Amino acid sequence: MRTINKLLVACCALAFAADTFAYSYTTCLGEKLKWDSNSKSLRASSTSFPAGYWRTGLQQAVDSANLNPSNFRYGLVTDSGGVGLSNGQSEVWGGTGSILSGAPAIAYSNWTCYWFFGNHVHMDEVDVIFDYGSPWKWTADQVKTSLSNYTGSLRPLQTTGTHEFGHGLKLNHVNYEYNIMGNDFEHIHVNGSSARAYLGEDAADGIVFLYGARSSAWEDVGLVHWKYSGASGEYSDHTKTRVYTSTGGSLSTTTVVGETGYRVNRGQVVQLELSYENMGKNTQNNIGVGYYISTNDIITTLDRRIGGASFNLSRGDVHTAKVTLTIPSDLTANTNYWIGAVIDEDNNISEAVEWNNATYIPLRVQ
Amino acid sequence: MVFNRSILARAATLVATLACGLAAHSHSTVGSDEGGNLAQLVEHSNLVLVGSVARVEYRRAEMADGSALPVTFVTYEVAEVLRGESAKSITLRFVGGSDGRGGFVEANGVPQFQPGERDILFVEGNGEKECPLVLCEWGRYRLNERGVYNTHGSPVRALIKGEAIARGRPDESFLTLSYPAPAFDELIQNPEVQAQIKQMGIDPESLRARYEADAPKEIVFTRALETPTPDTGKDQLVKSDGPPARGGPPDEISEGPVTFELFTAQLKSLIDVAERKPEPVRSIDVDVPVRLPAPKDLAPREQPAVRASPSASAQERAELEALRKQDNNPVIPRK
Repeated sequence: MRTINKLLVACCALAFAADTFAYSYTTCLGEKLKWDSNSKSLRASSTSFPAGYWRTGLQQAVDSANLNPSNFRYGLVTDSGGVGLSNGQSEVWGGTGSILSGAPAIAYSNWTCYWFFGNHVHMDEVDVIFDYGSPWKWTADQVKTSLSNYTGSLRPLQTTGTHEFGHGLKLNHVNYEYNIMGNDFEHIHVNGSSARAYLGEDAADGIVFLYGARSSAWEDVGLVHWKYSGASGEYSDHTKTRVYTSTGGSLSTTTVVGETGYRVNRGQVVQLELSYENMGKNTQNNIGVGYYISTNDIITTLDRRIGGASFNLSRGDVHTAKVTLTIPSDLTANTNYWIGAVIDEDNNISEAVEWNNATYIPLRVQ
Repeated sequence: MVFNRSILARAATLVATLACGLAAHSHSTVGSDEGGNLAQLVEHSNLVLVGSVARVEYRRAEMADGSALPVTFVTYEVAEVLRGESAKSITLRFVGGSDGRGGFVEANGVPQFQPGERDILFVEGNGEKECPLVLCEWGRYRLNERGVYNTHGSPVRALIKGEAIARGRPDESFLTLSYPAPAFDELIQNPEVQAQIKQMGIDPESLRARYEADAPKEIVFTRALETPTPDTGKDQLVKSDGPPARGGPPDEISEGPVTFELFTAQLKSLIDVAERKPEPVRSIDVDVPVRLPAPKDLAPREQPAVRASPSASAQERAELEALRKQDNNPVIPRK
């Protein structure tokens, strides 16, 4: 097994430790509001989600919500007989008009809560409506250049769907952590040209709280180049992680293939910031993370390794952290590179999801 | 439902203006920067009032497809009209609420109300929209003795260039919501309760007195905010500095909330320079049956073209192919 270099990481105070909280849920009569069972079938309108591009995108949103370490799983079938609110069926469709209250998407939730010689508390129905009207423009292709945060102009159906299906599980908005229940279109995993929606650590934690940990094995660690940046109302805002000077100062930036890239010199010591998440059942100890320099935006272990670390990672918090690395002195000057990381670089963890194990930040080496 | 074309047209313009097409929260027309923009809220409102909730009443609206949907009528005693005109009392209609039989409907992002609450509201489209507030959840600011909070209960910590900056843990008083418990005669209309009575095998009338004596008088919902597990010391990873504000105010702004006086003074100065004349807002008659159109599923727009990526080098193509063969696991054995 490869020897893992333990990096010294600069200690930084937590500015938001005092009153942080994580996932949010609802109780009624003191009982958790949730589905009675651990599965729910969603019915996709065949008009709004015909077979092919859009239906595949919706299925991916459902799959994304299902990538969690709880016992709960959504199913997706084709609806028949027309859509409706409060009709006993949990449906997904594209609509427009005031039913959306001006939002790009909305979840209408029905639930029951009363006392009749005992508490009766359960979810009954969730209907998710995407706004197919102006000005919303959706993509379902999982290609990053389609997205507004990656030189495109479209909103990913999959991240918004995952957010709404989170409401369907009766998770509320969260504004204190990097979280799909905040700004969903800024909560996405990217490596190379692929941009994939995912549920994330905090929502996974919340679903385990509501529905229990999965009886079978389900481990998953991941990393992204997004982090929490602030809050407004119930929603968390997110921004891309950065590369800093060795002391945590700002680096000048430039545009690298349409994205923000950081200007660095050959041989310069920098801090690479990424967010690390454990979305599995168990705490993982001594996870190996390799840091790499690549000539493209695809980070794999085939790239040039420039450092490593190992640490333990538990579910219960998103870990946005900086590591100190040295830009190799023999890189070609005035050239674009991508610095990034691969988590579980030794494949020691048997994971349910592997595609979320690497990501990048663009550099311009001077 | 009869739609007012001018309101719909203006709402569409507002969405187009503010939403930047994409950067909005999932249930909101706009992102946080735009939503807290008091000038925009003023400009698009027909009525800005300070008032307290006198009554909250629930009714079942008939949908055109034959189903029923709860709607909530919220009657405000108006303490002050800051923009537009209103009688001393006005009733607003929101989608969602209680069906009176133990069933509830919530449209995410549509505010919910309790008698006695004090608010500043930016009203438009009452009776014509499912949510008669400008930008829905952004069109309500809540008041208590300490100051002003946004619709979710986070304190308004600063007013900077006309923007209300609301952040932080909601005030505890805003985390609970109470509904009247169902009356016995209504509850036994609930098919689930009927099934229980049948299973019990007794006359429902014999249960009435016990229900009325023992049932809680209110159905209380609580928004629970889970605190993360304290650091056990196991996680050796050291976190970054605190979150940087993204083009927003510095984090050292006060904890808030700002005072009612400060908030309304700023609001009045914006109202003074508003360009659009407000249109009349009508109060809704709770006793007039509500009929709503049936939802309609639309076909998607044309599939967007995938933007071409820069052409890949031979090395990139090889890496991509290796990644594909690994089912996108980035740990690729070297040959």
